[in-house]
Amino acid sequence: MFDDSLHGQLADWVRPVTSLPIPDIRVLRRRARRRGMRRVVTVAVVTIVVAAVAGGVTASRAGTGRPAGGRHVAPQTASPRIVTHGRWQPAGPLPSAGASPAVAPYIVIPGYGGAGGAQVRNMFTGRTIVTIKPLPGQYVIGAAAAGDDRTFVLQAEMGGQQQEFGGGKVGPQQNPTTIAFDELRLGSDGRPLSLVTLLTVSARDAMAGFAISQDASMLAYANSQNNGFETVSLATGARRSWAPPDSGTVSGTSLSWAGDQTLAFEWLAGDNRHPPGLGLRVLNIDAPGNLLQASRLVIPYGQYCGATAACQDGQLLTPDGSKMLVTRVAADGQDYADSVAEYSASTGQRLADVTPTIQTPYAGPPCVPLWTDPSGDQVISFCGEHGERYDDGHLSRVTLHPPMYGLNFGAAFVW
Amino acid sequence: MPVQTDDFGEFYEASYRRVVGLVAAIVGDRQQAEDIAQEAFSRALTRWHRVARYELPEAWVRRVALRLTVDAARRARRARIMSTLLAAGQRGASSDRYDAHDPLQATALSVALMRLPLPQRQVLVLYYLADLPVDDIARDCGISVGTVRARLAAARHRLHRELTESDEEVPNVR
Repeated sequence: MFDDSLHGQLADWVRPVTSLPIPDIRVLRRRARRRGMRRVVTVAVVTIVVAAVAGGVTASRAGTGRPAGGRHVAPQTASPRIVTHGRWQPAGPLPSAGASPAVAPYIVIPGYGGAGGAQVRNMFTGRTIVTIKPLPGQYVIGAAAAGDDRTFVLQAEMGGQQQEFGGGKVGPQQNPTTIAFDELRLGSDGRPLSLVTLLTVSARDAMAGFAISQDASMLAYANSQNNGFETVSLATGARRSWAPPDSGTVSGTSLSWAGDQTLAFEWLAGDNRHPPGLGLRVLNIDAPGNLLQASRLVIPYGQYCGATAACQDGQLLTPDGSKMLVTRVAADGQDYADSVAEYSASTGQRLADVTPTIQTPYAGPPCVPLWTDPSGDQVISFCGEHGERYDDGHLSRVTLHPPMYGLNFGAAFVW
Repeated sequence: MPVQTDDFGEFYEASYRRVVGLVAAIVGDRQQAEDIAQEAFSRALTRWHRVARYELPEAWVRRVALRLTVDAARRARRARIMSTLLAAGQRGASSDRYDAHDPLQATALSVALMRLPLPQRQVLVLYYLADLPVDDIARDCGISVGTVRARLAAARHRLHRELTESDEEVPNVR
């Protein structure tokens, strides 16, 4: 009796969900683009609304909710496609070779709280250093880290509407018109020194997924209009558009810089049933030719993603460009064997596993590389339920406090 | 045989409601269920040239969705849903909603279901709502058939007990 009625009760309970109209397939395509696995080819007139923004710091002290000081930033309309704010400054030096990860304890969590600011935490202690209010009219949706472990870039939506809830506005913006890229600089204690908008682009062009070069001079962001990405010099405003040929698609969240000229990305099939050179590629942004001609395949897709697995991007190119850290998901009977592997960026040869291999019943990879020193000799990853440290061939567990482990681990924070 | 992109649309139309329904029963939240189901299908979309060749593409999507429910369960939001859901159950008002966004209605069954450990809940929902045989559940969850049976028995026992107690304590709850 109990068994007989359970199916009916469950079905009745979830009927409000199952009776809803099926979301348009474009929703899936948009999600795919947001993840960087974009496949919709749209031809549209590129209209970019540019707002150059006056600088100012609105970082709030922890617990006060008030701006720490500096000028508030107001968007200004301009006609060029992209206008850099002109306030760019180079990031600090990279950590020295062999530096301990303890020199880089700070992580930034984008979109923290209903207001959509950012939060700085100590990865090793879990302690919140500061909660930063978004710049006026912005909702932070992403973050990227430069090589000095103190300079971050935040991606924020502007111009959309937020949900009304409890008398206030909360949650991500609906139909944002503009995407802003803001530079956040932290002091040695993890507290913000400055937060300024560097450039803005039309929300129709920039999707989630971007990366900042090691010296914070070059930005690469996923372009939803062409399924590729843009590289922009924050110092000069010079840009280059990398549109994928052969109906391929670039995973926007796979972008990772070495120096300021070398960019790694994941190249996927898109609508092409026989796409050339799927996998992780390295691009020289000064090289001539299109995206495939200017890049080379380093690790073929099948080498890090086993059959039936649902691999995610999120590899790290070491700051010196010598190695690539990749989540490897191998099908192993009914289970999957997951690890983080280190590959040579020049030969594609697998050099080491920088985490233990774990068995998981799930198709998606629970192991991700999080931090590396300039050469990849030291790596911090999260695998299964633990932080793992790789130190020149030696593995050990390390206590980490990653936030929001799960659904969007790679996008949940940046280190 | 070449796989056409249009195939995905048919597959999506045919299977979306099943997937979102079982995810909803596992996570107990409409918005989150839609988010997870759409994420799973969008991953299938980007890999459709491969997924379409599998014997059961829906099983692949289901597996990814199950993985995402595990991930989602670790998030703070679920803790909030749980606490409000339990509070709703304790209040005994069947019309109470337990989440401010766009939730499923709290019922005695949903309260009891959300009290189950996630692995037991997954197995129970796959068995009773999706009508999957234990062999398929074992494949989807990556566990042995014996473990499926054990979890199912434990879930059924616990659910029955919870519902019985619930009926005694909060008779107004549907």
